[in-house]
Amino acid sequence: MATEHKHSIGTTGRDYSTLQAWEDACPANLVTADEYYLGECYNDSEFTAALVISGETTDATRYIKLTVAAGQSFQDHADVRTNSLCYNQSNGVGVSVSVSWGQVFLIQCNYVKISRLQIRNTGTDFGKGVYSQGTYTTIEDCIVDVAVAGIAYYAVSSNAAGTLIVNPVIVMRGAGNGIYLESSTLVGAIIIKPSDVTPSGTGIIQEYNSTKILSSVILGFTTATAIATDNGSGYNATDLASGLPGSTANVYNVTYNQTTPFVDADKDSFDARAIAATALAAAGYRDSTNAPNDISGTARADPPTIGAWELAAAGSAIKTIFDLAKASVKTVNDLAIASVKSWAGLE
Amino acid sequence: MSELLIRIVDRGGVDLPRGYGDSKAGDVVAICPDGWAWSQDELTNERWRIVRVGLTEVECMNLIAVGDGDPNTQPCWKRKCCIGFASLPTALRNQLTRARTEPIINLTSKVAQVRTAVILKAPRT
Repeated sequence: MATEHKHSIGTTGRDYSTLQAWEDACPANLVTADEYYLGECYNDSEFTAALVISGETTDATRYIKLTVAAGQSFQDHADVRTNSLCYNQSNGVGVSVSVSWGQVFLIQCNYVKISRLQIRNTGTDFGKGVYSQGTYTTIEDCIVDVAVAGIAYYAVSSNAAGTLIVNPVIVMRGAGNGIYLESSTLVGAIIIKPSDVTPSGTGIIQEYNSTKILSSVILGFTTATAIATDNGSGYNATDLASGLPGSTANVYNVTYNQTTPFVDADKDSFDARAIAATALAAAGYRDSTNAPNDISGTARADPPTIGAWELAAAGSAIKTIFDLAKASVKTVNDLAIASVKSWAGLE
Repeated sequence: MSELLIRIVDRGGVDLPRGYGDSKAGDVVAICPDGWAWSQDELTNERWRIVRVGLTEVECMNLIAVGDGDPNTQPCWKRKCCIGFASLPTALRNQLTRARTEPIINLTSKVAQVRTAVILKAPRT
C-alpha cells in the first residue's frame, strides 16, 4: 500500500510557501517511491502564482493530490450555506492569478486530483482556469472563475481520458467557452456566463472519445453543448431551447436572469446558490458514487437539485422515519446533522 | 526587488514527447517579493537556492513562464527560460552550486551578471 507523503502549503510556518515549490519537491517517480503525494493548502494568504504539474510518474494509487486542509476551504466555512457561492478568498483558500495565454493550473501528468479550491484567472486573453492534459484527472468541489475577454477560450479544459469533474462552479465572465472535455464524466456542474454578460460561446465542448454529463446546468451561452459522442448523459438543464446531450429528463428553457435560478447571477454580485421553486429543483440525478454531497458538503436529496448546489438540506428530503437512512442519519442524535431539529422537522 | 527559488539539479523525471518536461537545473521554481517568509524546507533544501536579485517584473515573469509551443503536438519546456549556470562567472557559479551555507544569497550587486545568464531555452527535441 502506498505511503502518504503529505505537506502543508501556505505562508505561515508551513512546509512550502508556494504551490510550485510543493510540486517541485515531489519525488519524480511516485510509483517506485510507492507514495502518493498530498498537498494541503492553508488560507494564510491568497495564492498568487500559477502552478505547473509535470514530470512525475504516477499511477492509480501513487497519485498527486492538491487539496485544502481541514477548516481552510470555503466548503468548511461556518456560514457555507449562507455565504455567496462565488470566488471569495476570505471564505477559504483561493488561487488568483492574472495569466493571459496561459492558465492558473497546468496539469501534465496522470492521476492528479484537485479539490476544495477556489481558482480565479483575471487574465483577459486566452486565459484558462485549469488545463489538464494528463489522464484520470479529478476536479472536485472547486470554484473556477475566469475573465477571458475578446477571444473564445475555456474556463476548464481537459483533453485526456478518464477525467472526472464533480460539483464545479465554472464562471466564464468573458467571451470564452465553459469547458472542453474528452472521455470524461461531469456531474453536478454549474457552467455559467453571468446574466449581465452578453451571451456567447458554448457551455461544453467535446470532440473526441465520449463524455457523460449528469445533473449539470449551462446558462448564459449561445450554444449549450457541442458533444461529438454522448455516453449516457441526462438530467441536465439550460436556458436555451435545445442542445443538451442525451434524451433523459433534460430541462430546457430554464428562466435565467439576475435572480433566477440562482440568488444573483450578475457579474459583480455573483452568487450561484440555487433558489427554491425553479426548474432545477429536484430535477437532477443522484450519483451516489461520485457526488453524494453538493459543493457545500450537504447531502444530496433524491432526486437532487441540478447543479453544484443542493437546494434543500438533506433533512427536507426526509418524509418518514424510514427515509432517515437515505440521509445517513442512523440515530435520533444524528438528526441535527441533517438539519432536522425536531420531530416536526421531519414533515 | 525579488527573491528567486532556483533548482540547481535536474529532478530526473519524465520529459513527455508531447507536452511539458520535468524541472531542470537552472529553472526558477518560484519568485516572491523581497523579505518573503520562505519555509524551512525552502531555505535548506539542497536541490534549491534562493537568491535576492533586482530583476524587473517582466524579467521575472519570463523566468516562470512555461515553455513556448503546442503541448498537444510537440515537446515543450516546463520553463521557457532558465538561469544558465555555465554562463555565470566562475565565482558566482560556485556560490550558487556549492553546498548550501546561507539561506538566501544576496546577488543584488550582481544583477547584470545574473541577467546575462538568463537563457531562452532552445526548443526541446
